[in-house]
Amino acid sequence: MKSILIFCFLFLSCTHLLADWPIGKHRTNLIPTYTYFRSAKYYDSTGKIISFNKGDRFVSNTFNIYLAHGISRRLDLIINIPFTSVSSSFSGLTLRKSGIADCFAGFAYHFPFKDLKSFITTKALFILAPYQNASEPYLGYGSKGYQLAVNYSFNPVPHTFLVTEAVYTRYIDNPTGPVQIGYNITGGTTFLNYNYITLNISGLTSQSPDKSFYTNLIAIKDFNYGKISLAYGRKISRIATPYIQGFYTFYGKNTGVGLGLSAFIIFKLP
Amino acid sequence: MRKLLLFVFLFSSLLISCTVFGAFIGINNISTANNITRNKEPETVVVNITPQLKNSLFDEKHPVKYFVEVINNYKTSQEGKIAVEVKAATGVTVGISEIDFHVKGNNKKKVEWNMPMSEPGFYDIIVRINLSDYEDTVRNVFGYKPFEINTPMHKPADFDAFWQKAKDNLSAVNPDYVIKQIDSLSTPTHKAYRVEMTSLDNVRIYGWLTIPRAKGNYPVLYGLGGYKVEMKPLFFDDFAHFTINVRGIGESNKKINPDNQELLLLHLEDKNKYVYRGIYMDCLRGLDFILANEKMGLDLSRIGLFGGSQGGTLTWVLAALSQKVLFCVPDNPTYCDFHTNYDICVNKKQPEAGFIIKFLKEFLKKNTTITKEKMLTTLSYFEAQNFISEVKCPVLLGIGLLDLMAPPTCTLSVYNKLSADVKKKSELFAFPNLAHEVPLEHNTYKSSWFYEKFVDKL
Repeated sequence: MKSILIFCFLFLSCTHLLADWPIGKHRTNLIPTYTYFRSAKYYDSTGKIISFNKGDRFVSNTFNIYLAHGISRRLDLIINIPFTSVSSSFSGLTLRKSGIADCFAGFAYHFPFKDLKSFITTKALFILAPYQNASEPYLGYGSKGYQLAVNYSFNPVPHTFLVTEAVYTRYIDNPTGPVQIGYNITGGTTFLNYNYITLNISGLTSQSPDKSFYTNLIAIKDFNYGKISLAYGRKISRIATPYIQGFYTFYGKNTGVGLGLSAFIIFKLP
Repeated sequence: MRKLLLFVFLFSSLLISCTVFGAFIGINNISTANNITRNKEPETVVVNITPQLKNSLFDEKHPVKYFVEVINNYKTSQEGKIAVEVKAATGVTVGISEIDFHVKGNNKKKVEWNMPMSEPGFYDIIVRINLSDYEDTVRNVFGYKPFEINTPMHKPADFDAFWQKAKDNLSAVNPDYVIKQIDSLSTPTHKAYRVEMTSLDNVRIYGWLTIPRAKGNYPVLYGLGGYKVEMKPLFFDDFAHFTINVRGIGESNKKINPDNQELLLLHLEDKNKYVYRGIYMDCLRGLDFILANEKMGLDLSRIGLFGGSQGGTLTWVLAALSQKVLFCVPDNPTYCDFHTNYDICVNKKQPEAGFIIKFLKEFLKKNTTITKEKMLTTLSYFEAQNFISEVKCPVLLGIGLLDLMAPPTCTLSVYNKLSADVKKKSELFAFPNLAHEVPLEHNTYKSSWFYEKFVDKL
């Protein structure tokens, strides 16, 4: 479960730092990201925070490449490839694993409103797990899947953006799924010229016929959580804007309580 | 219900037919998008004139069709006539149709007009409504097979030599650039510079350059101004911006035009002295300035031009005179085809036809020894259609179909003379309900076009 959580956090960590307008024909956004995540507590099935035993913890370090390329004025190609190193220390035993975690690739199609400043965007992404869950800790569900999303992005006031998104994800290799339904609300603004700040609130409900609670949290597929993240960026050149981001799970059931930090750079090319 | 009501033929080539639809009133559902909506007062009649195609550009596959919707907000019935007249760009009526019309109180009725056309061109559609308590006349413009419009060329035999000589003369002038950062105009994100330079006939001109402060080599958007419009610095997030104030604006006007004559007419009697020979070279000198200042953080492989009205024409002229620009984006370009423009405005007898032809007519009145033909021959050296074959870069053209200063017949005629290769990369947007302007969303579209075209390099 803990590793699954990490996967979920990383999946969402950098893709919502931009308003979801079209990338632009033949233009590319490239976002390399480093993320550190640590969890020493968890939400139980009632939502109560429980501490792991002293010294027990879950830590991950992830380097992620996110690429969005404008195939046409309305159609974007999206690819995300994470490389993750996870470390699970429980009851004096530390387990480590590294590798490419769940990748996704797919398309986003944008429907502009008449003003060309507001868009409804639909996304269809295929999830690929290029690893085997032969031993713990896991890097993810180890299952193929797909994700469908729809969002509305607009400028509530000048120099700001807001994106509201609904996300449906289904893992298809195992009868127990899970099936996940999530939401994202992302707002961003510029201030003091080249400075940017972005706030994201998201939630995820993961549902599975397998509702068992295991002391091995990794095996749990039925959970939910809410996450808040705050990012600050500053444009340093025509094409590059580095960001730092912090995120925290502010509610949940059957899920870890985690604090994470990310550093990433948005390259807008050319 | 679909009923054919009336045909009236004035010319055998044109048939106007109409169909009437009746409906219960639904005032809150009145559609105004891309329509002409007249008279929005609550206790009266509302008339919506809607082309079947939003851009009003029809062709053989999409025959000309208009809908005239009359919404009667009175409690009493309205009776009378609705007449539709179609006029060619020259002002000649090519078809007319009239129907008896009746609409009950608090009801609406829609009439469909089909207009089989044959000749490519832009046409006025004039709808006259004459009802019991309401009268109105509405003008709209549509194009039929607009991409086949081809007005005659009047290119002088020595056109290329004339402009080569002008360029040679400009090259012989030391530009003597002076660049001064203006702190009061600079911002935390941009540096603003006032730049001066010497152009043809040693006329000193000036312009503005703004460059984002964030590190990088920036593509350059070169903005060209409308008639006698003083250009100011503009600030783009991801582009440098340069603009030039051509002769006749600011200090230079005192030198070249001490008597403060109308600039359009200054030395019109002599093509070698005509002010636009200098103005076109001023724009080229501005490009020289950009090309000479790569070290300021300018990406010389990515220079794009944009401008409206006269500025639109200048983008075409400059793209023809120099192959060092990546694209040009004209809105409602004037001076496309003086001959056709003159005929359109004179034949229509419309005093509001715009300053260009009005001033030219005044010029002929004052200079009785100069014939119209001689004046137009001089202007042939300066009209956009004679430059257009040398434009090799993509064009994004925006036009208002109601524009009388830059009539769509003239602008399309120039656009149609682009080479086939250039047209493949180019786009045209027509706005049926606008005159000498483009809508805000087109400016947004232009912005995304800049980004898209700047993906490439020269």
